[in-house]
Amino acid sequence: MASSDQDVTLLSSWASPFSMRAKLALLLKGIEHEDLPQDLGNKSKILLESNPVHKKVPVLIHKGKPIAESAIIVHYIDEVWPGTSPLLPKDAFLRAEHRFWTDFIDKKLLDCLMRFMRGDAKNEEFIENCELLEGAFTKLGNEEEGPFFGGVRMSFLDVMLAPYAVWIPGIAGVMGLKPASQEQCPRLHNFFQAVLAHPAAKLALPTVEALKEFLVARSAVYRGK
Amino acid sequence: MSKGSVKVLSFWSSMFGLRVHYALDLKGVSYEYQEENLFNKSKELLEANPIYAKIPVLIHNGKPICESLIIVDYIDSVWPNPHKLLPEDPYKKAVARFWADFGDKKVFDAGSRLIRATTEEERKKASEDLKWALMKLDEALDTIAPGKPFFGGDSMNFADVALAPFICWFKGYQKVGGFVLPGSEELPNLHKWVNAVKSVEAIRKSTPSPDKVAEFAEVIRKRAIGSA
Repeated sequence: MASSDQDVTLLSSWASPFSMRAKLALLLKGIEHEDLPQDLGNKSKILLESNPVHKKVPVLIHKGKPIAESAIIVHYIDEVWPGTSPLLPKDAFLRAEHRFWTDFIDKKLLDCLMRFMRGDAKNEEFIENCELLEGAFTKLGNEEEGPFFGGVRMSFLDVMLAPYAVWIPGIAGVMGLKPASQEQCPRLHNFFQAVLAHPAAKLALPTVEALKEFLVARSAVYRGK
Repeated sequence: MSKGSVKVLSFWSSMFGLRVHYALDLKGVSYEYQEENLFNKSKELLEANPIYAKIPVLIHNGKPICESLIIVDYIDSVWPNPHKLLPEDPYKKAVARFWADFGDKKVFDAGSRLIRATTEEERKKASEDLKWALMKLDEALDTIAPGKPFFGGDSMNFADVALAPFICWFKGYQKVGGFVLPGSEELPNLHKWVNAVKSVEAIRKSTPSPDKVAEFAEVIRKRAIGSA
């Protein structure tokens, strides 16, 4: 489907949940692209030139123009390639809800996970955040249609949350995090299972085992020592 | 222009709240305004924003929308004309979103740390970070809209609305955090931008006086130090 002048490059990092979002969106839409994994300990010229302000991944480079910040990238991908696998809802209020919960994932869920790894957050706080996400499923998703916020197919919010299908078990396996049980958060549990079984997600996300090894190797960094 | 009932829950000095006012006023949308007492939040606010209990909240036809940039995006979708804020071109749209996000991550963050700094080291770092952020904005203006007053070119766009509220807080940053805004020799584009924003009637409508904001910044600081 992608024509020769599409010229899409992704500056990525396989373990980054933000990078996974961009990769997943590209795969869901079948967009041919070049994946350039980055060494974040020794940042490349292309990374520093394409994201001089934040110097972070992911960066999407389309026809020579860079776009940074995972949510902005996924918005862009959805706007430029609207035909296949549309991600943002058509309704303005629902779009606001998808954005609100994306912001919650970054501000509350990820922040809590990072602090947990440093020993600055309790497991209870993490469970509370999961319960709030469970509430989002009740509000926004239709259980009869499917496990995703988008029903049977992944939508914007599903892409934003998907990386946690591996990050949460990764942290659980290495740092003793106790995830929310199926009884506590059934829809969230089903969502994560559905992500792990999804063909595009299998390519975009690392395995839990690989992520565990990564976390062990970098545990000093994550423990804040 | 009516499209149903529009209500804004906010606080007079909030930069996030100002974004919502600016978006609605630029588009000429009439709305009801409810000033919240942040130390005694209304039941309506707590019900509209149960997760954060924060302002601003936009309530449109009874449905709440939270988080200032999400609200502005929503306003732009529901009332695209007049004064469309997000560019049609996807790349230009992404650029506008990027600089709005930069406002939160780098400008607001540094300003907030500046006001709440408890040590000279913290204050100095926050001050340097704020200066860096303003330099980046100055460069960005020149790259995105060279020779034009706004990020949106001849008129304010999403990025301009996201960043404009900081202007009335600079006096507060100076008074409370000792931050001296670099002059127009150092930040020519930013100063031109500030003057252009201040000349927009819709912006003047809800912008509080910088002196009052500076007094309020003192209050925030006292509370922050008190709890340190």
